[in-house]
Amino acid sequence: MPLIEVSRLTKVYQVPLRQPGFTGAALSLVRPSYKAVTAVDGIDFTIQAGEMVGYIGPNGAGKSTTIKLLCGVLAPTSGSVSVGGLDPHRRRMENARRIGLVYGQRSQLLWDLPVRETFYLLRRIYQVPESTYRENLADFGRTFEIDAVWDTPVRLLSLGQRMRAELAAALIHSPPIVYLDEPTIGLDVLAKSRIREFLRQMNRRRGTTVILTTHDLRDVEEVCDRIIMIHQGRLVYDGALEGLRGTFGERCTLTLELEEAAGGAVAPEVALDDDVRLIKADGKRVELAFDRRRISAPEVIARACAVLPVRDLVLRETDLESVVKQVYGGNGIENGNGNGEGRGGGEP
Amino acid sequence: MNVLTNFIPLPGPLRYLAYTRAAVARVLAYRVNFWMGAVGTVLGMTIQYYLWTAIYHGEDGALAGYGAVEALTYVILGQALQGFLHPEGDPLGRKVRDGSIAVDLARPADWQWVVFWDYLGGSLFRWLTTGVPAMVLFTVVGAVAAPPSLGAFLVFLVSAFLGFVLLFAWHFLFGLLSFWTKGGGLIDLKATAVSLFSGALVPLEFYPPGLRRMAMALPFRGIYYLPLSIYTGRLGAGEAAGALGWQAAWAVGLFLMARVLWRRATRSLVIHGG
Amino acid sequence: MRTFGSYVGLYLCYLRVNWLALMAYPTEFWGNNLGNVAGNLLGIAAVGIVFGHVRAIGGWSFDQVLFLYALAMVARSLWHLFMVNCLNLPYYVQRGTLDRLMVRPVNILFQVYADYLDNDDWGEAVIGLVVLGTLSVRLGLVGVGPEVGLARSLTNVLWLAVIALSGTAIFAAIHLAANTTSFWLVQAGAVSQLVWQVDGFSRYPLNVYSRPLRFVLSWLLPFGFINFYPAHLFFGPSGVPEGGGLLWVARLTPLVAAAAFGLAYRFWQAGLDHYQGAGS
Repeated sequence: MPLIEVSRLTKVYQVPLRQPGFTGAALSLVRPSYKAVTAVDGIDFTIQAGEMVGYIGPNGAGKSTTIKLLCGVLAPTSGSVSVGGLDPHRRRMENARRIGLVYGQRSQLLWDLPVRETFYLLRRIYQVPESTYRENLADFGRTFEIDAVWDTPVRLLSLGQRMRAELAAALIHSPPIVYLDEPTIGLDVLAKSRIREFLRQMNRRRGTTVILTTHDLRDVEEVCDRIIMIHQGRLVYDGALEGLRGTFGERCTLTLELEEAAGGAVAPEVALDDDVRLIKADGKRVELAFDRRRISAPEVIARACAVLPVRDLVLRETDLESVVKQVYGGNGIENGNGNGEGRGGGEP
Repeated sequence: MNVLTNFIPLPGPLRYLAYTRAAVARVLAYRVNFWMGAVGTVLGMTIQYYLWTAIYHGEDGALAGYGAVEALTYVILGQALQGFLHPEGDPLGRKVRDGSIAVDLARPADWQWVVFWDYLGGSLFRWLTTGVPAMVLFTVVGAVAAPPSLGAFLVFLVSAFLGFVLLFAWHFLFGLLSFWTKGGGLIDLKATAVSLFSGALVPLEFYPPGLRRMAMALPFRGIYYLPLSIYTGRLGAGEAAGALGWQAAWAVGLFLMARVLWRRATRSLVIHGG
Repeated sequence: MRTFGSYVGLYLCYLRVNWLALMAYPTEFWGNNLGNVAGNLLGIAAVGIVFGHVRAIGGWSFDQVLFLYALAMVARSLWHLFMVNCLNLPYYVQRGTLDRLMVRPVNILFQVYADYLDNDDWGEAVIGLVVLGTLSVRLGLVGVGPEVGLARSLTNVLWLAVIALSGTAIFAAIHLAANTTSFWLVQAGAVSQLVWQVDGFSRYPLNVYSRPLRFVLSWLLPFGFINFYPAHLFFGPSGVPEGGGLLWVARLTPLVAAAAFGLAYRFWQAGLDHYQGAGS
């Protein structure tokens, strides 16, 4: 039996409509009007115990809403959620004992107090048995380096130290399931890679099921064996990372500005093999996509400059939004919150 | 695009009227709060009405020289003015503590004036929309007396404005303390001093002699006691003129004192980097 | 299921972290309490100033009005010291802090109350208790001598404790209900602000107000049960204007308090359901 089962899950928010004008505002006090916004729209998936799943999608795609539904914070409008055989909303307390939750942007550590005080409190909150508590602390002392910051007030920790303490705090009651919402946001490269390493270790040693939402594709690449991608509340991809590799791998876009429009005809010569793909050749503007792991940027630039009269160039990392666009041909993506920068050159 | 052509040379502090307008817009943006505040003011006035009616119940004569109607007029109008004269919270202190004051200091405007016109906008708007209609209502139903003459009413308006300047200067001075103390704990103390010595709740004539002498010597009575006494007609034309002069002297004095301290405070902010 | 004992242990732990957090800023603690003491003394002084000129308000003497005032102070301060964080509910809803509380295996309202304790109302508690104690002796409700009697003294002390706790529950109920509106209203805090204004009514005997107001203050926002009605237990049939007639109402106080908090809690649950999208 799968650990998490989500079927036809839908969440519709009633967003209060603000009416213009003074009387409108006064009227909305007496008879408020609402607009229905579908945040999650008929999603199905199942997750087995011990899986590490990356839950991705652009801003406003419905990621946080799904996590809230899984945690029991929100009740579904229709469809069902089952976590370990429980409806998380109806049996909030029981479900709460089995899950750990880490918000990258919202701390649960006691800000003005030494790190240890948070753990004393969480131990009581989750009624962690003495032996488990000691074992976990000993474990975290090594893996999360909690020992070093045990007596330091949280406000004095570096962001990386704080995130590690945050993870340890979410795991102190040994939850079999951990939800992480943007756990690496704002961290530097080194701190990010350490957090990822901790997540892998935790999964390997404890068999913890991990569900991770993120903007950073490297989080997914290095931590997860499976991704679920949603867009505008709908599930658009569910499967192994490899399945997306073809388009997903093209992580860089090179936009070239040419001296003369003739270049457009020569452009295909640059994209001769699989490593570099021509996206658009439009007058004086040429767009190429390539995978950095297979060919370096200087090499692509050199190749382009050899055959094309390049006047100027822009190099961009492909972001998540444009991955979704590439995969799904840009269908119905206009209203996303992202600014569509990944599209590159812009309209003529 | 010439930046200079965008600069409209308004005379003196009138340039800051934009801040007054912004303050009004802010009050309007939080409409539920506005209405609740309005209802709250009327409730406060109602409490005073019943309380003082009960105080005078069974008392034939005057108390502390006040007849029932004069006392009711004094305390109810005092309550109506509280919404007008009280800038909410401790905005200056808060800005100093969270450091956002640096942003304001970077603007090419005199900040003391900015805060002044901003407070005035909010206060004036709330008073015109709440205090004045409520006073008219209480007057029409006969709970309070109208001012003795149109002249007295106009003098009252000037006096109330000076009271506002006094209160503003006091708040501003107190807010400046945050530059040195960094703590926000003394707000209650500040408000208490105003409530006690200004005669906001009870006319100063009711006070025991010692306390009364103290209140008379301090500048706070210019905030409530003097404007209210002009409204009830307790102060005649001559006395009212004296009161205005007294208020103006204190208002200017405190305002300038705040200015000197403000200069010193901002200098220390610049030096120590907040 | 959590046992009652585990909640007590958890609460003590919350008390500890809150105390430590407040003590991280000792100047604030003393500054706030100093301001609080001054504000409360001012309130008493205002009553005193008026009674410098009259002997009774609405048939209640200075000592009796002060007794009412002190009863409300004790109840208000107990609520303020231990349950004030429900005033932050609007911010918890707006900023999503509530979500964090909802993923923990603990009653949510319990967490809201315990999450932050205010430490700046000790002045009101101490002044309230001192004034209440002094007046209980002066009004002959409590005493060691033969004129009051040990049995009567003990009964009165017991009633005072019951009434103070009932008053705390009533404050809690009113403020909980007011702040629960933030589940529906975006501009939260507005209703709560209004309730503070109404609290002003509880400073004087209810019989000075008009009938409709009195009804509201008795049965809709039951501030009257914090001090006015229960005071009739002590002053006897001839002590105050409506003396004996209200004795039975006074005895209802603990029931009214329980009912008020029960209703407020139901309302809170409805608000929570609305927030989760399970209700309405």
